[in-house]
Amino acid sequence: MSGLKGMFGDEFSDLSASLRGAAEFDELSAVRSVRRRRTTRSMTVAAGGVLAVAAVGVGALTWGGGGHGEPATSMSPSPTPSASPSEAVDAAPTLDDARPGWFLLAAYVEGSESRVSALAPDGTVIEVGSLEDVGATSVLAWHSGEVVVFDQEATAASFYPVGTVSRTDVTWRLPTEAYPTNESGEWVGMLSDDRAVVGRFGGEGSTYSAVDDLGNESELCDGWALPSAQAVSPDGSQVMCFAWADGGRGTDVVVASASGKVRTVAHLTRDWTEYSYAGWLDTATALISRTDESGTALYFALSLDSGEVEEVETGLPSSAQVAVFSPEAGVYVRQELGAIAFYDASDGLVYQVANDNVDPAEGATVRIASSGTVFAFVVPAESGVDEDVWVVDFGLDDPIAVSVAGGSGTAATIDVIPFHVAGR
Amino acid sequence: MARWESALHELASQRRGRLLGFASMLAGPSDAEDLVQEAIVATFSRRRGFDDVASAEAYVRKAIASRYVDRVRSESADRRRAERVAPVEAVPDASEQVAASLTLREALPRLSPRERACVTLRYLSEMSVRETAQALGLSEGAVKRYTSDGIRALNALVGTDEPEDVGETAAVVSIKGGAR
Repeated sequence: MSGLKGMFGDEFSDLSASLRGAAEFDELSAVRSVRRRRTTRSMTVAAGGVLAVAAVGVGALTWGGGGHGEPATSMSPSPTPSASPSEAVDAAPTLDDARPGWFLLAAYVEGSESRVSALAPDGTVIEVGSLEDVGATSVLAWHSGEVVVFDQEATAASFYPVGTVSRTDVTWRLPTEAYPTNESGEWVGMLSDDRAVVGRFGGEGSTYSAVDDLGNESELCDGWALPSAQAVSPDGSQVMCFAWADGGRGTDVVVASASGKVRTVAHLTRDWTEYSYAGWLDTATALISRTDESGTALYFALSLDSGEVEEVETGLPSSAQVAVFSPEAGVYVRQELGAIAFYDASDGLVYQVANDNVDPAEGATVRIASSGTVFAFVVPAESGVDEDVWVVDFGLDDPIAVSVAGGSGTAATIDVIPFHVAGR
Repeated sequence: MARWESALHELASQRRGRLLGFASMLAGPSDAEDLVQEAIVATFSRRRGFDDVASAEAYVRKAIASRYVDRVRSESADRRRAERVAPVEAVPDASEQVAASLTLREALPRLSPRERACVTLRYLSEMSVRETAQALGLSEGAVKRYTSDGIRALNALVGTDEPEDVGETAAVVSIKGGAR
């Protein structure tokens, strides 16, 4: 009996012969699609001014021999435009195109003006304005098209920032003062009804409230809670808080709904400092992490509905580094030595951005943000050098890591704020 | 006519039957046409040149395999979101199969998608473990596992006695740029 190789060869020959006369290949449609993609790539590179060509050899996937950072083989010269004038050509992205997958970049330069730009998934950067233009000191969120900014009081001497939270948009008009605060508070996120979740901290504990744009507040929950561990569910219907329990030896998981209902859904047996938030698996299941005795990060799915907590198999090799999970992309992303690694729970390592520019300053942590299937990460640099920003659209057939910042020599610290829409 | 257009035309006229045959063995006849069309567009959208139509066919085959696995991955991600647990693909246990003499065409659909992709690339495209891993965006270890499982399943279904040990040892290579 012939072996598998012979069987495969015979079957392939039979199928190829029988399918040769199959329905005509739509060659015209294929050529038009290719023309459109090639033209879009050229325009995007030109408009964005990003190092896309350099990134192809460094941060890109290449098949057939290029998978180790070699340049794409046999790059043919740019074709002269052959598209007919009547054919539609995708234009470079504009601020009107902003949607999940976009980010705001807020570059803070000590002693100088702080600039805000919008970052598109393909690496195009569009200037928005300066924080001084809108009387703010930082950008907090980009939610359903609105930009939430914070004006911190310079004279406040409190543990948490004190100031005014306001709303504007990418037209960068003067903001509407939405959430004036007279005491320390911290922005948490937005509910699905467009109310903001704000935490206020005082000597007797903390209170989380939902605040509308008229400043009306409705208390969601109170008690000691951890500023680093609150999270608003992807559909904006619930807020998850970690709260001290057992005199600080344990942790309660408190869930407050937008309607005001508050429940303690789970009790965790370890000190609150051991837990961190790693994203959402779905609209009602949070992903939390803690390290075990060996320093390895463990991941747990926490159901906000049932309170059930179960360990999650992530496919990640052991490491103390906590990964961030994106449900849209279906991958865990984390910093590794000299690289940003993307892991699939079933297949393990599926993508990696590794080159000299991704090595952060010693001891520094790469900050990773996700919006839809797009990831942006900030690589801290040595003192006096700009931080470096990269963007990867993992939703593309061929993700390319594109460097979009750095090199200006202004030593900017960069915040990356994802475009978010509740329910997505 | 641009150079790439000539290459595309030549590939479509000379090699389409082979590409459809490959896609059919990989993903089944119902998905073959779409996979081939997508793969050709994706291959030629990148600014690469081809020495001849055979090298162009090789690129397109890899694109077909990659898209097939991407579809499977996307469907798995949807299931995971619904089930809230990472799924484990059911691997047909050859020991539980009644010894059968199926044809290869009957047996292939019984493999898991990744097993099917790995054995097809191994036997049709004669790709190494490393080449298969790059084409499918899998780790080399995963390719070895899927290939071995696929061979074992096929041995039970079609009555062959192919060795299951994939046998390749890959040197550890640091991945520069992107590997998917």
